[in-house]
Amino acid sequence: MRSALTNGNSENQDTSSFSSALKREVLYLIFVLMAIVVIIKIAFYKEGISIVIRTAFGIFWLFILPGVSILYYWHEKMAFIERLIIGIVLSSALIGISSYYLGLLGLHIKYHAVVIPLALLICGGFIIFFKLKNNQISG
Amino acid sequence: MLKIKFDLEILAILIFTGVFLWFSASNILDNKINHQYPIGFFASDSFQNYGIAEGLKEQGNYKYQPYAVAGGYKDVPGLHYPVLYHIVAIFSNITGITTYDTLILIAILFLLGTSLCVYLIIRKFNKHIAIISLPVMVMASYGKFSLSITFGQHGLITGGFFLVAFLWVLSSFRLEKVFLIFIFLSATMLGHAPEFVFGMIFLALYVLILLLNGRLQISVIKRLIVIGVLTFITTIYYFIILKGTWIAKGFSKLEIITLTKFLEGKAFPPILFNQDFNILLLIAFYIGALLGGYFMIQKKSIPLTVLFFLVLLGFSNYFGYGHKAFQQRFLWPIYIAGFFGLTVYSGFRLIIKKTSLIYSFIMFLVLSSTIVLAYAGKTKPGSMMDSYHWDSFVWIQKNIPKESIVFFFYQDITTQHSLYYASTQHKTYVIDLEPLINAIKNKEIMRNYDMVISAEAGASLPYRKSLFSFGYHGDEEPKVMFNSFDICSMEYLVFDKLSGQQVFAEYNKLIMEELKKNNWIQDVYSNQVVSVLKNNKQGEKCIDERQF
Repeated sequence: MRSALTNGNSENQDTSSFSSALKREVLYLIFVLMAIVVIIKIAFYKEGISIVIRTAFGIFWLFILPGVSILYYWHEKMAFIERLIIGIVLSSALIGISSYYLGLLGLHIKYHAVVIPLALLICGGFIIFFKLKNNQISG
Repeated sequence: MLKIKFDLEILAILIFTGVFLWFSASNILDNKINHQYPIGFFASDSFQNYGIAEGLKEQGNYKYQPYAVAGGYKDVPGLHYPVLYHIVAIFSNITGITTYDTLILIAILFLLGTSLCVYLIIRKFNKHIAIISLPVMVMASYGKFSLSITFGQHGLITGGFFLVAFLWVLSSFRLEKVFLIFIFLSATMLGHAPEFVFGMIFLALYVLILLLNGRLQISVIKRLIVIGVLTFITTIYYFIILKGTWIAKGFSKLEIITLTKFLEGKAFPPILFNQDFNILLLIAFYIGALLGGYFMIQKKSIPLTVLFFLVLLGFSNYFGYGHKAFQQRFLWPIYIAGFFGLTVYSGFRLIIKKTSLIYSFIMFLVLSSTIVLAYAGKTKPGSMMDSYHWDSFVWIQKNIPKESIVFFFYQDITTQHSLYYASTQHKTYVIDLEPLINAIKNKEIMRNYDMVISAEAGASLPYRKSLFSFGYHGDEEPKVMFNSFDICSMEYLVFDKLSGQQVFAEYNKLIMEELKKNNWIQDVYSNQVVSVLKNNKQGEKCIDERQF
């Protein structure tokens, strides 16, 4: 499982079923979330745990989840570490651009933190679902 | 064995992320997320970005510049880079962290993201070199380089973040991933236009090379057209604003600026390649650049071409990119890291022929420890703000009606104009220093004082006449920008009672005492440093012009 974090081509080889692939993806993300909490706590060691957790969840919800899930579309060509790093930039880009235009269209920015990542996650969810389904069929 | 190798790379990235954040947090934020007042703010531009993000949170969108930012005009379009402000506002909303703390945190996170993207670019060439390069990137938040954060060059950080992601996609997948290319290009445009131009230049060079090599196939041209159309659709709304404001006012004019000329402008202390890096690092860079040049030609390596391109951006002032080139230099620790890594790795290979990720990982640990031990604690967190002034600004923000104008007399931070509209979220005027100094020299108490508006007026406060046509409040109503005001007509007046140059504080106190002789002018807020007075009879004679 660990080797697949950095090896895109082999990532799918051990995917025997839909559920195990999904489980693996969720495990990666849980690991990432835990790592963010620990790193933020170390970097901002003078800060209380509640604000650290809020910051870590904010980063995870806004910058990790949307990008990583959308980039699953290219998971055969991109290692998890690449999907994670580029996913952060992709999330930022999509959230920044969508927020700008949704604001112009009249949706107040106070709703964007929930609406935009959720919409992107749904897109990412569909991508993961159909990719895994296709893999299962072809496998 | 394979398993250990992969684990080590993840471990290196995790350690790097921790070290980068810890180092930046120590240098800039004192290892805290929440602060009582803005920390890491050392220039007007930082407050400008804070002020816009804060205003955006309140008004809900960036169709127009926030009222206070636009000097009280409600029709000035949102002409600054919108992506950063939206991300800051959203992150602040979801975490409950103040906007000013969020701004600095996001700037640090974007710098980290840029470093990791450059890591991926180097990794495309060689994974060992990429790991060895990481420690040098930590220096992006050290000393003079940290000014990108503390001097408010947050647009550069945002643009750079998206630019390197775009370059990674191009170096990894050529033009195959149309979606990623157009999203990153669009985000660069909405993030900070100069980096979009740099991205387009690289794309043009890439296409030119394909053309010269006879590899510009129809499929590639089709992809380019799709990328162009999608990017155009995504950015055209903002581009029209950009063209009618910044571009129309000459901000994109090509200009060759030498170092001497740049220093005259005093925008920020420029990074000097051969002076601001450690000598060992410089030697490693130059050797790495020679090796890199050789490999780039021999292997036709796009990742190495990208690295050279990024480093050279800092010298583009000699090719017409003016002060924007000097902004790029703040990112040099990230951009040159690959060449440093190449030298270290090549030297290592001369001694030990066998390659192993364990060796690279050990090298990474040694270099990280060395850099952290050598540089930690040398950059001190701080701010041009203090708790007394911040308390007064927050009081003004919360207690003075939105439509009221606030007039600031001398404070030690007077020259940082953006600070006032940003921190108060009100239309504000700030005392003009030269006439004030003359008044003090001549021992005069005056009724009229010259005041400068605190607004984001670089593009002369534009407004839309039609979709493509713009007018400029700043040009049409110069008296709004700068005027002489009758002190008795001012509703809210702010004075400092302490100063680094006490003569200013004494003069302030003298004026305050004169004003408070009238029972309709009272202190409405006061702390040890700042007093806010309210004039309840605007226009009524309140002071006698005399000598003291």
